[in-house]
Amino acid sequence: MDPKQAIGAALTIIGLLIFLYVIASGAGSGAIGSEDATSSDALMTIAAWFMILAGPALWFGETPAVIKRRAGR
Amino acid sequence: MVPSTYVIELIVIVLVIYTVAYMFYGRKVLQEKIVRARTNSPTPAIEKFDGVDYVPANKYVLFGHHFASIAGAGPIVGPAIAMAYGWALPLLWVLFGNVFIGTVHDYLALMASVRHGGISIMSVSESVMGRRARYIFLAYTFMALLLVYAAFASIAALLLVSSPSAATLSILYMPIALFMGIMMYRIGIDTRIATIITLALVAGAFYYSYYTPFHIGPAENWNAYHKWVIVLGIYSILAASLPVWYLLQPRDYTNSYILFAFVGLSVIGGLLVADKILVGPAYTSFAPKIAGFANQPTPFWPAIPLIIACGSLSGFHSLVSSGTTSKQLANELEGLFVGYGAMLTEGALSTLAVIIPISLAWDASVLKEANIFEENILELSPVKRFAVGYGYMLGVGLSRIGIDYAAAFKVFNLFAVISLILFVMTTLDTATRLARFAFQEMIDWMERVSRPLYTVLANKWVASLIVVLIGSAMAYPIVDIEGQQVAAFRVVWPAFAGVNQMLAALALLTSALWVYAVLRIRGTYSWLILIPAMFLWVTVTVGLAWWLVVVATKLPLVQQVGAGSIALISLILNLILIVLFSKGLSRARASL
Repeated sequence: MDPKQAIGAALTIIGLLIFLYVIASGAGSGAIGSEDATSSDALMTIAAWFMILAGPALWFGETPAVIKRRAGR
Repeated sequence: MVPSTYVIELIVIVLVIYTVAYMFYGRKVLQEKIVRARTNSPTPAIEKFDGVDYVPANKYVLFGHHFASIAGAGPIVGPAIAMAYGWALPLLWVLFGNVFIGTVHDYLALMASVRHGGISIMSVSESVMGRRARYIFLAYTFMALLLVYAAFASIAALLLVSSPSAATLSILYMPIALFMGIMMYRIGIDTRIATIITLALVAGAFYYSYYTPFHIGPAENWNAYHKWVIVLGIYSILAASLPVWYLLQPRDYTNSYILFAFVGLSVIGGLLVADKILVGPAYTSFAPKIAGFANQPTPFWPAIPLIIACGSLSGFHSLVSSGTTSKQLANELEGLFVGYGAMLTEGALSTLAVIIPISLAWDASVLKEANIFEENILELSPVKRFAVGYGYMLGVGLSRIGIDYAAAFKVFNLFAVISLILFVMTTLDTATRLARFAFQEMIDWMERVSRPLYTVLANKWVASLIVVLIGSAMAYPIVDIEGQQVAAFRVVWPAFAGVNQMLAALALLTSALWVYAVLRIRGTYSWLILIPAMFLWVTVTVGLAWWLVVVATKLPLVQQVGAGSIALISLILNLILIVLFSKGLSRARASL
């Protein structure tokens, strides 16, 4: 695993863990974030969201073989 | 006096017209006689495969991407505004515009791009109107896409603040779609099984979101709105720069199921209330006063394209067709299903999910009793008209089979808002990707002047950042109009609508010239394209000029300077392009 993939894997796994945590805590409290102030769980949700969106792209970077096959490559 | 009209009558009329249009006008005329699509002709997705933008897609996946990208806020907000005319005139424009202009425009832009290696419709214009036309068209398009970004980022941010449950689903939805891509392309799970897993996760996310709203920050002082504009900006850069197979294809494929559910539910709802009469008036006035047009009497012609926009036709569609879609089309024969079929579906969405429900809920007593409006549904904002109408139709329909009206109304009201947000967010990142393409094409001359500078500016991350920075700068500010603070899209929307429809006229004229000069189609078939193109160009040019003279002069200074100046520049560029079009047509005729 090269450094780019390692960073991608770390972002994905950490992002997922945070994401699952805020989802679980949101289910308990009935909301994620607060209407009165910018709360830490809202910020964590957004940060984890970006980690999950970007992480797998670094981790699984190259074009999948199934797509290359479709293009005849 | 228009006789009473039953819901079932409109549903049948719409479905029959669209089926006939697809089978005969689309397949027999456009595909077989004009474009002469071939199954064995390699497409740019195969010939120029790069794993990022040029990637062949399954036709259903591509339909999902194309439909989700072209179906923005326009087909919903536009007809909802146009209900000020009653339901008959908006329906007429949707049907006429769909069949004779919108579908033709989308399909020809797609096929012209496919035949030219996947380049944009603006670059296709070079082959028929010359090099100058290409750069003017590109500059015009880039400006239009910046307005699309600004308007949609502002609307999305407002919706995410006003509907926190929809914000939760939006946040959950993207990782689920991404997971679907990983299941299909990495783990190798069969598409059908991956789809079932994904849809189950989306259903779970919807349930979770219904009970768990997401608040990004306090709504006071537009704090949450500003935060969403920034978050949407970062999201757009990411989504527009990452390979299409990674997020865009699976996300849009998943989106298409939600959109089909959305359209399908409106058909089911319509059928459940098929025996009901549309209580909304068929016709109110040829020139009612419309709030978005400074409360000026707004004549149906030439203003209607500026109001209904994407529900009937849209220039943005030609950018999607010749931008992302043409680079993913695996087979020329699939172009009709994707390019033509998606526009018909969008028209059906306007009619079945907006025009009929609003007409049905027009002055419903149950909505008055719930204090949703006092007299009729026109008192609500266009987005609320749509959400209330959709929720009402399904609520009444489902109550006939034993489901509680109030619960159904609440669920489908939220579902309507969520669907709208998904439309808007998809359009937002596709617009960013398309603006990046337009920017990269627009500065290609720079490669000869300074290769290092060109390499930096044409980099996909840098180009996306430039688009998002300019777009966000227009979406971020709060505007004070007559003492009332409003979001930026109120300033940007009229210019966006006008420029967008003008773009449709220019793209269709380019396609008409391509059909005439490159495909060498003559006689009746060429007139079938040219006459609607000229009609649209005249209508939108007069409409935009009318808006500048009658409406813009009544607006606050900030709107005159912002939207007014952009509309004026667009009008001037449009006149230059029509001169170049005339010259191109003369050259083509002379070369016979």
